[in-house]
Amino acid sequence: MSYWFTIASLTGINVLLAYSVYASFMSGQVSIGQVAFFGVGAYVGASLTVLGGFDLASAVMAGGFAGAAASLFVGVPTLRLKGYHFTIATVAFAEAMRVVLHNLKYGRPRSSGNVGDQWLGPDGATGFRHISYLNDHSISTGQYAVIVWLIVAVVVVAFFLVERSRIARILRTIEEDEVVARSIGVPVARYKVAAFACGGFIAGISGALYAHLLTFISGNDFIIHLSTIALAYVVIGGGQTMWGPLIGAIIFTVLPETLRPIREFRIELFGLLIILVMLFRPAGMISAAMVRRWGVALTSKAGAKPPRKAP
Amino acid sequence: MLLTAVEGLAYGGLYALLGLGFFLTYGVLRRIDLAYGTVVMTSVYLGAMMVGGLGLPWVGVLALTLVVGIPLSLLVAYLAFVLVRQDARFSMAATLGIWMVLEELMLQSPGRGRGQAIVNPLQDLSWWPWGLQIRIDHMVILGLALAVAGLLTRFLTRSRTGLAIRVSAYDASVAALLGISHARMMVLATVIASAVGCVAGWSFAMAQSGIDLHFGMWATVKGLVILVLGGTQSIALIVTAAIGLGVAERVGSELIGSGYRDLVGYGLILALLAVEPFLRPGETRFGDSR
Amino acid sequence: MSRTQKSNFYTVRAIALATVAAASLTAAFTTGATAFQDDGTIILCSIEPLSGIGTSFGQPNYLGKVIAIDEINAEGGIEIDGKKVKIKLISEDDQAKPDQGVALFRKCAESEKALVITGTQYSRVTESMWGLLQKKVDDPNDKGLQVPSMSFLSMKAGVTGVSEWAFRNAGDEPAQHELAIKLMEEKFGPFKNYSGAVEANEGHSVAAWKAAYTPALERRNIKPAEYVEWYETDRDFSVQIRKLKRAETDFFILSSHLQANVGAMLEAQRQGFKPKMIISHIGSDAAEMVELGKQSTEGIVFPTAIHMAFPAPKVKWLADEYKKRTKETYMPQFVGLGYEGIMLVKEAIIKAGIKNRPETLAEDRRKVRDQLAAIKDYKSFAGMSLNMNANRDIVRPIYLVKITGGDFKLYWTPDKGFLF
Repeated sequence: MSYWFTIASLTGINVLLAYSVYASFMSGQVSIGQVAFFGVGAYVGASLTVLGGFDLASAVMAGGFAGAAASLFVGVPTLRLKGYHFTIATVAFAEAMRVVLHNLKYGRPRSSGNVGDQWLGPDGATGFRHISYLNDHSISTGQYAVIVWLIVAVVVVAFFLVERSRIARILRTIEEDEVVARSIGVPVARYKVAAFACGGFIAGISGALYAHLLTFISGNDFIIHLSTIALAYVVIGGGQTMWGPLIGAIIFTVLPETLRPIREFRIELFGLLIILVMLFRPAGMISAAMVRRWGVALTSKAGAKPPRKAP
Repeated sequence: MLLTAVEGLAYGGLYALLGLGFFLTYGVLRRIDLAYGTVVMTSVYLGAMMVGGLGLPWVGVLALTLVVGIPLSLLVAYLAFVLVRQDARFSMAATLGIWMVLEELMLQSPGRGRGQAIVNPLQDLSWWPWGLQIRIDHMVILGLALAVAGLLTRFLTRSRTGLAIRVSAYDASVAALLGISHARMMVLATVIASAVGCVAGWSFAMAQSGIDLHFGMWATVKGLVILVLGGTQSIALIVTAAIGLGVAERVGSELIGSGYRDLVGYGLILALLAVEPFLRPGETRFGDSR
Repeated sequence: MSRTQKSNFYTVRAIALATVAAASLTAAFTTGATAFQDDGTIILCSIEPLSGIGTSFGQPNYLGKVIAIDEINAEGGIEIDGKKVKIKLISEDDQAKPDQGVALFRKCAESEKALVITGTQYSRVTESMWGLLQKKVDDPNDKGLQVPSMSFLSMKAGVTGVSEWAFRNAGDEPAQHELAIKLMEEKFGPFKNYSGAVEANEGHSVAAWKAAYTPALERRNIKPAEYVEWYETDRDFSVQIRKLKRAETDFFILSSHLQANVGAMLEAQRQGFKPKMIISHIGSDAAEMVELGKQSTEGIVFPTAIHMAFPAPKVKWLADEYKKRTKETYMPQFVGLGYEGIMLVKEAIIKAGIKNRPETLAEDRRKVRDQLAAIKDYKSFAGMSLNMNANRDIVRPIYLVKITGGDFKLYWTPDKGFLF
């Protein structure tokens, strides 16, 4: 069972990563750099529990803030770029961050270690060992999955509320046409930066959770591939509503696990599925129209409330 | 250090070819194709594998690369950019899927994903003026890159077909009004972009005497870097950016070592992107991007 | 129903069907996994990269294990409580990704109830998996997993330090390199300028430089004449090679892996950089070094754990068996390490006197762990004797191979010394 708990935790982490992409996706900005904020969150979170003796909750929150700070650092100057130049800027940042994480060394010596294992904290390309908070505090995989999913729930509810607010409509307007948005007096840059920083915060939290689940991290964990996949969760699940990233990340984390018996062919199948979804449901698995219809169906079945207009 | 810079210049020819392929795909065809590098890698890989298996001469690799690469690129273009056309983001996701499938198929090919040897007829030929090492193969490739760049510039700006391709990629309905067959132009442009990519991939592989699976992603990242530096408007800028990258990488390795070398490069890109809108408001190396 | 509504209806139905299918598949696997131990087999788990970029390392290691299990089972299995019991090897594919590694490690430990978990190849995946283990045995406050695990590679120095349940059969890297340097100095020395090249983004490469080569040089009071870095995926090495050449390197330490090694050596050939001695490390002695590197890699010396050039007849048998199953003529040493590793585990199981009943699993695992920790003078199929050290690394006599005439030839053995 703990295998599935681990998968559940990983799924939750991927859902968070998908939402971090989605936050700026709502305003039409495509980031392939979320892995950088994920990595920053992982290193900050792990450093606090391993070296600083902090508790998990504070470490995870700090990871989130570190991710947000990093995203502001890259977002403020580059978000005024149009179209995919912003996307490329995020790629450059992610690659730069990976180089930094690869070369990072701080912490303190471990007197009791074996040969080659005498450092506590990140040790350059050798990596960051001994992130053993979960074992040290007897947190079981099941409990950890619950913690992860509680955070996911908070994020989902937050997006649910945002989606029904004026903010979402403004972001969608920016996505549709920036000029229109500006002409009706929307401070476009401020909204884009805020959305991107929220994405950075969520990615940072996700990274801190990842580090504690994995117990060992190194720069190699944070390659650009991971954020392309995170983007794929959103695009495939559907980028029109907040349900898309959730469904996309769940399906694409759990499906490869259930496909294990076909072994080496499962990556092909996974890739093929991406192509097929894009061919036949380009708006993603969950489209805005679908959610609207379900909303209507649910409320009319309940009969009590009149159908509310979806944003 | 000067030595290094001069050698980097020659190495830049390899990057220039790669950059031209990306320029055609991203700049002219306006496609965000994440599978571009992987398609090139797959073609060269299969070419090398077949030539190795059949014992053909070295030119066979280039021929087979083109034979595999061009139809494969057309297939990718059809799947990701013709069948999926609503939104550039969806097409991009589709190319991601194609990338995954191709890379995994190579692992399951008879080559088992292991490096494949490619004969370099100019392997140990270098020219040593004043203590400089100028590789003959690099010079040949640099010449080739400049020739391709010149031909492409002429083709895209002077010839009717070239103009038709650009119009067609910019706006299919305008093209239709002018009596240009959008579909045919797109196929033609894809073939050219793919041929340039295949030649670039083969050049790299030959210069290092082999091809490996990492090449696909590596080429995509390097291609994007060149694109960011050179923009999508001018072939001359692309070639300059590519050669600049060649020089910068060499000098970087010499001065700061490989560990942080890439950091400087990416930092420069970020700075360039961040500063540019202030320097030349309204006009960038990318033109109107939306 | 309008057309769009209808098509939406179909997709909803398709998604619903897919969910049901996925759920039932899941159910099938979780229930399938409950028939263990008491069905009369010993369960061992194997976690290796069998797809994705690590396949060329994982597949040979896995095949070595399979050949060993087939051989044991063909003899009827292992004797437990006076009865022969067969071994069942459950194979999982981690794609060289640490997130999959931790999930699979839990699966093997808790769902499959494996007696021993073997794997995996990539050090960074192994490190994540072993981070789940209890650090010190008998620590009541540490609720980490308590299952013996042994990797038959994961070369990176210090990996087993994370838990007393973690073992490794890869060879003592610092000792290997110390010996290689010493022997080369005795035969070809003295050397003036020692230089090193490291893959800056590769954990094992960097760790080998820090934990093995640097101390070896420090013991000799030598400062490297030149130290260069490159990336695993670099394609141009001219700057680095020129630096090494300028430093008049005559003893070149190539702490890097095959792909970069080949590129660097081709460049060395081009620049006419020919140091008197080149040594490289374990895992780099792959067929590609010769196939792709051709003339340029001639003369490189590697320490090796098990090589197909070993004289022991059983090694030849294993190479033939590997060839029969894969049609490959070159047997990477991972095959031998996988085969030997399973045999070590078998020895520990026999000595542990386990009961192999569901209720004795925890006890059995502990017994096997203790036996693994106590391995002493074990006679390997490759003809050498193996011992477990205090760091839970198998200490093995070191052999050297040298690329000669386009092939790996056995170059030095502990009993015969230099062979040519």
